[in-house]
Parts: sequence; structure tokens; C-alpha cells
Amino acid sequence: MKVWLRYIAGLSVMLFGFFGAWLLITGGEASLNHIALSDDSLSVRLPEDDKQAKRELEKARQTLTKIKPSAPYIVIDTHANILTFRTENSIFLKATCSTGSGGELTDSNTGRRWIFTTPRGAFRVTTKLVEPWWRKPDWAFIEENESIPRDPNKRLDPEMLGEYALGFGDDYFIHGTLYERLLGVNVTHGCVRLGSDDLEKLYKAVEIGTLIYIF
Amino acid sequence: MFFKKQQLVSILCGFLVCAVPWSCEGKGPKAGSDEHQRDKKWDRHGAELEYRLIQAELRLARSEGLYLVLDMAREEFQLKLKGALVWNYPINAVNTDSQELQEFGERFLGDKGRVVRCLSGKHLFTAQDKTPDSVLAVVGEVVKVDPELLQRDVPARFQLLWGSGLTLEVRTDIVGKPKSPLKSTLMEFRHALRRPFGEAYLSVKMHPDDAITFYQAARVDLPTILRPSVLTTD
Repeated sequence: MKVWLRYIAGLSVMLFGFFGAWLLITGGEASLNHIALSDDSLSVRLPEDDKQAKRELEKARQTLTKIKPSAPYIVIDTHANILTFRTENSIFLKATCSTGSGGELTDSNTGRRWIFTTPRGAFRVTTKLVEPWWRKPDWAFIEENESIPRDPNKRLDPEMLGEYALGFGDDYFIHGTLYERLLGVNVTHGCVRLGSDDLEKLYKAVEIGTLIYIF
Repeated sequence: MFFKKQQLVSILCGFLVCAVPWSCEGKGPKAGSDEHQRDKKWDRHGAELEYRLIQAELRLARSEGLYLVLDMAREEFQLKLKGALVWNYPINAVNTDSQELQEFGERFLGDKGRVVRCLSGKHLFTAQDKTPDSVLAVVGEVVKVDPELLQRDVPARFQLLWGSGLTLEVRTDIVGKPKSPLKSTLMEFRHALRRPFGEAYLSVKMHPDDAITFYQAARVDLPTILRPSVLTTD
């Protein structure tokens, strides 16, 4: 009986070892999601007829070209804190910026919660402002442990945003800063800060409707 | 009449038989031969590959997420969002003499010509802090943010994995501190075990600033398209 037990235990250890080695070799590979995406790409086929196939291929090429931006666009890299104004083949401006910290703030009185991240995705420049004034939101007072003013004029700050601001998304801006030494660090509440020289160049170069890609 | 009716008909038929091809020589036969030439050039396999590549990219460009393109033709890494190029960097292979890049491309496509794969893993071996902790402690106090949130790793060496033995190793010229040494040892061990089963291992050099972007943006599940160096279509 004991001998059989030993055999079983030995076999289990061996199987466990093989399984461990197998996991080490293949571990972390294709999940079901991966397989679905990869296999989908394999099932795409051109029509059998050559003429139709050529037409279909040309149509696909044109669709791909159309999907790409036709005018210069802004790219904001939140990982390296770099803003570029570019086309696919040329970079017209490359500047160090600051983007959202990812920090959180909770109002202990009301339980309201903010997460300070820069939104990601594709946007368009919706406004171009000169000498913008910052209308401080509630979180700016809560963060400083100050009471939220009832007088809207007490929310206005004429200096914080620098000389220009470009609006995008849901009340976000590319704007200037009083703290240029912090450029390159993720310190903002979601907006994108730029140095004054780069901001001026960007303001002059872009138009309303310019695409902004943030990743 | 010099000719009989039957002779006249046969002469006319003969004239027509000779004249029709001659009259069409300027257009039809030449066009036909061009068509023939084009058909000869039309590479069905290459066209199918390009079509799959375009359809895969269109699908990803219509989604909300970022995707990576390994462009073997331009020898470039490209990050794209909604079809727009948002970051690119040349593929600077460490071993310039080796066939690593070609082997990587071939293994990625496999026998079936698979143009899309998803990133299945990444590992940071060594890295350096972007900003000294002491500086961030002060900054964190000023901007009221946890200093740990402000810190960024500047990768010195990291690996991206796509499964099926596809490994990309990225190195920068900075000296970094080891990150999770136990996992690093396991990764090295795993490579040693894999090697006999075959793997494509591409090692590249990158500027530290770009390595930050690449490492951070390359999250697990990142869709990756491989654009082969040659697409043999007309």
C-alpha cells in the first residue's frame, strides 16, 4: 500500500513539475481575447474574382488614407509629458508639457470626489483664448482648505493660465503656467501646461477644429 | 465582273479576317497585353496580406484605443490612435549584422500570415527614477499630490512579449537599478527553457525619453500590427 502511495506521490510531483515547466514556457501568452483578434484578421478575404479583388483593395487603401488626419495635429504624450504639433512625416513643434497627476481629492463635507487625469483619446480645439482668466472650480478651494465663495467674481484668477489657452473636451485647456520649473512632471489637475514660448507658437499655429490626440 | 459571287465573298471574308486584328492593333491587343502583364504582376498572396493589414488597421483605427504598428518596411515602431501617428521611433537593432529583425517579422506572421497579435506581457528589468525622490517630495507638497504618483521610471532594459516565442528587448544607454529581481530571474529562466522550442528575439536600442513612452504605452493586450517589409501587389 505504502509503495503505491509513493508511486502516486512521485507521479504527482512529476506532473506538477511538467505543468510548472509548461507554464514557464508558455505562461502569459495569448488569452481568448488575443486569439479572437488575431483569428479575425485571418478570416478577412478578398473576393475570388481578380477584378473585384483589385477594386476592393483599392477601396480599402482609400478608406485608410481618409481615416488619417489631413491637416497638422497636436499630440500629447502623457507618459513622457511631451506635446508635439505634427503631421505624419514632420514635427513642427516639440515641447515639454505637464499633464494630469492622477491624484484624487474627496470633499470631506459632501463626499464629492475628483480624479485629476488628463482625458485620453481624440479631441478638437474648441476655443482659442488670449489673456484667459481662470474660473476656479470647487476643488481648487477644497484642496486649499478654503471655503467655496458664493460670489462668482471671487473665483476668477487672471494670472494662473498664462497668456493663451486652447480649449478642448469637457472644459479642459492647453494653457500656460506660473511654475515652468515643474514642466515635464505630471502635476496638473487634468489640463495641459506649456511654457510661455511654446504656448505662443502653438496658439499661433493652430486653428479652431485642429485635432488633438492624447495618449 | 472579274470575280464570281462566291469568289467575292471569300475575298471579303479574307480581308475581314486580316483587317480586324490589324485595325485593333492600336488599342485592343495592346490593352489586352497590358492586362495580361498586370495579371502576371498581380500577386494574390501579397494582395490578400495587404488587404488583411488594411482591414485590421481600419478596425483598430475605429476603436478608442491606442495600437502599435511594427513597420518593417520603414524599420519603425509606430503608436497610432484613431489612425493618426502619435509616436514613432526607428527600430535600431543592437545586432545589426544578424537576421533578428527578419526572423521576428517572419515569426510574427507565421505560416498563415497573421498580421495582428496582442501584447501578452511586459517586464521591466532595470530602470532609473526620472526625478529624485527628494525633489518630488517638495513638489508633491506644493501641488498637493502624493510624490509616488509623480515618479516615473526611465527604463534601462525592458521586454515586450507577444507569445509564440516573440520577444522584443529594449535597451537604453542609462544605468538602471534592478526592478523585481525574482521575476527577472524567472523571465531569464523562461527564455532559457524556450530557446530549444524556438523563439524570435529582437533586441533594440532606444533613447530614454522614448523608452518611457514606449514602456508606459505598451500595456498588456495592446493590439499590434506587423507591416511586412515587402507587400508584393501591383
